[in-house]
Amino acid sequence: MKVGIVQTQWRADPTENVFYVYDQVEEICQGTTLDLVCLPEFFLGPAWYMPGQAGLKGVTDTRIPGPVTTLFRALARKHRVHILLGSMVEELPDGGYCNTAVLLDRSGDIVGRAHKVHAFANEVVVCRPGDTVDVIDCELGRLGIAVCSDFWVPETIRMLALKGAHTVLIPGGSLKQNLDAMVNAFRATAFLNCVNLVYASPVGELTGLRGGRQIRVAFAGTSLAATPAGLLARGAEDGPDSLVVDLPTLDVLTLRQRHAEDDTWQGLGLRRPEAYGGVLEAFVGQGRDLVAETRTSMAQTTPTAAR
Amino acid sequence: MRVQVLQNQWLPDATATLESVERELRQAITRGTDFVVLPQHVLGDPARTPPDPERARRALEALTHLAREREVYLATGSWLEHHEGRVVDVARVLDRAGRVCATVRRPFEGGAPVTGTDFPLLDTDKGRVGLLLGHDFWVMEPSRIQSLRGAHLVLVSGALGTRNRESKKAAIWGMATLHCVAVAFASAVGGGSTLALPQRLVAQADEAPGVLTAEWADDTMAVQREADLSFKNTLWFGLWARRPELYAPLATAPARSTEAA
Repeated sequence: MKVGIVQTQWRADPTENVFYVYDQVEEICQGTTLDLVCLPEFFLGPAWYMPGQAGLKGVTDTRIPGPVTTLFRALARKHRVHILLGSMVEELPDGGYCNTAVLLDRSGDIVGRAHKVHAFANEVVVCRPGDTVDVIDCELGRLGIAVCSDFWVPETIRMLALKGAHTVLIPGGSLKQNLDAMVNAFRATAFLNCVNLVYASPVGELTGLRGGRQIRVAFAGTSLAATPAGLLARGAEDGPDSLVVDLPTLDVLTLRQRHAEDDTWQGLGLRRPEAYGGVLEAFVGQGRDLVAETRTSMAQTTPTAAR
Repeated sequence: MRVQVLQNQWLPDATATLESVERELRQAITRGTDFVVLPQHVLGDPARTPPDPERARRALEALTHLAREREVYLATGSWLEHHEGRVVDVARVLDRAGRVCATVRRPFEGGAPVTGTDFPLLDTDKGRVGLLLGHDFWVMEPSRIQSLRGAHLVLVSGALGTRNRESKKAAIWGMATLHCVAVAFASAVGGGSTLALPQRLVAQADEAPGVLTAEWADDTMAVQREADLSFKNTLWFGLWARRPELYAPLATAPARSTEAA
């Protein structure tokens, strides 16, 4: 499966982002036949609910289907390529919001979508989380989608692998402070779950108030691709980038079969689910109401979000 | 808190190996050490070191004496013993007074698990700690469950083995990061003994025998695990943001067709 990863960089004028990303997809599809192109989380620009970004409400969010999907559906058809539009702040018909990734097939049809299940930061107040962790059966085989922070709750990738995904697509945003640990954890996750991983992240920066204090959030690219055997590609930290990788899919499924020459299968094959009731328990150290705290913090900074 | 892991070498016979382990530990365990971890199959290749009650008694006695003398929590590593008519691989943790405070038994030749010994936790004077043996570490759920139940450090009597060594070395730190837990992994076969915190790899051995030592502030893990809504630290997120109501498939035996896919 030949995959292109488009690492975007937010433009100063967010209304330009969509056309800029469109051109990047056009470019990566030139001269090579790809099966799939992956875009990062928030490829349309910062979400309006991020610190200091309230003015972007109605600019970097969109209806699905809507003008953004229409644009990229035509591009998927033109290049006969699957495109992961991952992810967008989806404005729901009832006025709510979701952090949503959409998978288009070569005909431009929507063949899968995933809503972020584990909300991050202000999303716990603003966004409606997804309630399912499901695989998508498509021409490329069985795929999973984990939206950004879903990766950091390892149950997500675990369930997708157990449901038969050979590859999990992760539109995310790399935080600068965690890069080394993130890259290593990414590689480890591919090995421990015997799964291919594709990670697309933007580069961008924003400033704003959080909890009454001025903060700066930096997304540091570092898009990645890995197989259970190790990292295949790593993007730049400080600018746009394009990565093209060949991901073995049958190999992953073969590695999951018990055999003597390789022990990658053990991570899934030696499981004893009957002993894992503990994963259904909450973390014992969880003694605060983070939703309430976040709501208070947002009320101090972005009044429109706190309604 | 100071943690040490022993990476030892098998000598031609188990008695010589035990003597060498004891000698090495006497030299290496420094005053103020809190936890010492020994590898799986610490006394030798299990294929050539069958259960021997007298040898097991001597090994446990020597390590008990050492734990008491140096006032450390000591994960003994493992060796084979007979238990309820089966051969099992047994790992224990001794407390600072040399008392057994946690035990794991795993059937050596497969078969049904030994009941009552899954993923033990022990409350120490340095907080809650988990003990894992061998393959249990390479399956994500056991260390996940221990972390969720409050272990801030997982002691692993493990073996890196000879296959996928680089991936496994990455996975030790990776699990520390993903579960937001400190890991002390001791290995004889294949080397790769490791001390890891969620945010960094503290120490990792190659193949040579020796003792790794690392020290971190007692509250390091408590700080890492506390929700930080400024998001300067984010590694707590994977414990706090969970939605256990969605994870039933992880605790349910899968349909064969799905697992095999």
